[in-house]
Amino acid sequence: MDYIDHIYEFVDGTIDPIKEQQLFNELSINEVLRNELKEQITVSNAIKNDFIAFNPSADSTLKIFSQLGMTSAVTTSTTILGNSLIKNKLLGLFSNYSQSIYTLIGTSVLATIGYFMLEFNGNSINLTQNGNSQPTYNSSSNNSSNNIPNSYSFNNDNKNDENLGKNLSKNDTTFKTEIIYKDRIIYKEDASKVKNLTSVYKSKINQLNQKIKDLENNLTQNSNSSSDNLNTENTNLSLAEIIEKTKIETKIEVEKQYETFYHTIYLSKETPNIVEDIVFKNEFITTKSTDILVPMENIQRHYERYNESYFDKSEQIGLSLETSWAQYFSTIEEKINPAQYQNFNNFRVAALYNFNNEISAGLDFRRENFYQVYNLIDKIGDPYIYEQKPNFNTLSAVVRYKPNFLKFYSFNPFAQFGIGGNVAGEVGRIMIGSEYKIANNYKFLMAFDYNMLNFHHNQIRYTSNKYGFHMGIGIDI
Amino acid sequence: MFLEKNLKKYNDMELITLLKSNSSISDFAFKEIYDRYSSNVNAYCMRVYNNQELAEDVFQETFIRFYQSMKKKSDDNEENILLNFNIPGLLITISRNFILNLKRKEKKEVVVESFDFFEHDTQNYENQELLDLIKKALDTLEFDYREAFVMREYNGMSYEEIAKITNISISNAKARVFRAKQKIRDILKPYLVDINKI
Repeated sequence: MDYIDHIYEFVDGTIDPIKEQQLFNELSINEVLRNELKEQITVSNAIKNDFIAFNPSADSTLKIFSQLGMTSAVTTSTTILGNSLIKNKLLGLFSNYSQSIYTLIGTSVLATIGYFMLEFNGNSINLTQNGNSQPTYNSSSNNSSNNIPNSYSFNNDNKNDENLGKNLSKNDTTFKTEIIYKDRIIYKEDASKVKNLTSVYKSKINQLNQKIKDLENNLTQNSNSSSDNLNTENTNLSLAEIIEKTKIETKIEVEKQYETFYHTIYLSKETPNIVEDIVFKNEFITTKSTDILVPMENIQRHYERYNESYFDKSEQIGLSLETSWAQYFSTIEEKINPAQYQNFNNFRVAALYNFNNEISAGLDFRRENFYQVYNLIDKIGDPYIYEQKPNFNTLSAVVRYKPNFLKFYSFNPFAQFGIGGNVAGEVGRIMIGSEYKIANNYKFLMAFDYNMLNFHHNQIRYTSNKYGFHMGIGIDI
Repeated sequence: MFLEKNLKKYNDMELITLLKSNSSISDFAFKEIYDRYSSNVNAYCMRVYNNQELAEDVFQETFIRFYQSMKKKSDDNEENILLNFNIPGLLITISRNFILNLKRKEKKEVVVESFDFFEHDTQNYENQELLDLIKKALDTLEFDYREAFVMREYNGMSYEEIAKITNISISNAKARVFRAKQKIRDILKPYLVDINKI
């Protein structure tokens, strides 16, 4: 019997069971037939891998679709992407997750736009001082009710003052004001222009002071010629009232100048090169070009609502008390509840002594749980696993480091290391967090820590580890 | 991309229905049909017709003719027609008709029973070279045998489909495929032995 046809039918998949059995029986004893089967399978596999036959050329595809007038969007995947396995997989992946990908791209774009929308812009102002006891000033209005301040040049109500009108017009926005917070304004100044306008402000203050003197002289002399020097808006006021009003206006202007001065001092801490004149003299601040001394306490008092650390040149030495509540997470899965739920569980109190602005050390007391797992083999050799989560009172000695270079605005990042112990064993801790100065000596605290309890059972050492998230408050005494 | 993903779930009947409609989706339906069956049609054209350039033309014309026939006004009994619709069968039929038309214009081919064009029977061939050999062996076959073999081995058609398209009986279709395999086997015998020795 010629089994070649059997082989064809077998490879074709159309052989009936009787013929198949006959074929298998013959294959087991006929090597020639086995080779014949192998050859047929080889040819069949080769045909399946006839890549050229099964892939129409891109040119043919393009011609078909262009002749039928179909758009490139319809033909893209068939013409460009072909039958590449990798490309098809990427296509499939993209089509399956296209919604997520589009959402991610859209969110990234919106986040980028939002970030740049929060960039600051504004108008800077000038700070100058004259040689008189009162500093000169630039009139500026700080609109704290919105993010963008209105920054004006100095208002010259006196039409006879040509210098003021020329050098400082409302459109003379040579300075930029940059807003960081709603209630805080940072001014960037061009140091060279500060010097150029110093003489202008000196002149202005001199003129105002001269006006006051003239008015006072006129008052004593009962002369009506002073009315020519008066502001036309105040013609109905008495001379004394006018003098008083002028003094008040001058004082306001001086205070405004102080405000500008304060801002410059604040900024000089950040970028000391911008205003080169600023000089700190003991408890006063002055500039190189003037001999005006502004008491430091005035600036500190005026800037009470801002970050005082920029003006407080003294070290923050003293005691700090803190308390916080923590949420802990064990590094292994906990299968049991705590032994008991104590009052003030997961609470922490700490007393730290600040050696300087950066280094503090003290004690840390916590009421907490540790999840412990340990093994025991009894006398007959059976192993046991013990799990417990007892409550501990742990006392630790801690050292905290708050680097100045990481300080920004009211945030004060720190790293803290602690070593302590409880009835079970020794405890080591690492904490990373930040203090946020709320007001004066009060601060808000947020931190993450990693805690390790080292304990022994039957002279075998075990550890219990957990992560913690802390939130609390503190006070500097 | 979303539309393409959705159309992949459609069966042939649904795609035909979309293709026959005048909506903008009809183009995408045609594309889906093209994606599904272009490889089959291309394999048929390339392996049945032994002129590659003309085979590509046949391939293109097949789909264009198919699209145009689908866009024609429907008959009253269209629903009945669609129920029994076989897209790959129709495509192969269109290609076959084109090829037959072209062959009528050609000179009558010489039937070659065996053709020893291989010089060395001790050489080892890789898969691509085996394919080349298979292609050359196919070229030596008569059109009827070659066509039946390609429909069965390349297009995966059943003997019933082959019989319907070529307008022969099922047993005749089976016989043609087997005969083609025998001829290819005889032609490639010396070289398949070498391959199996590797």
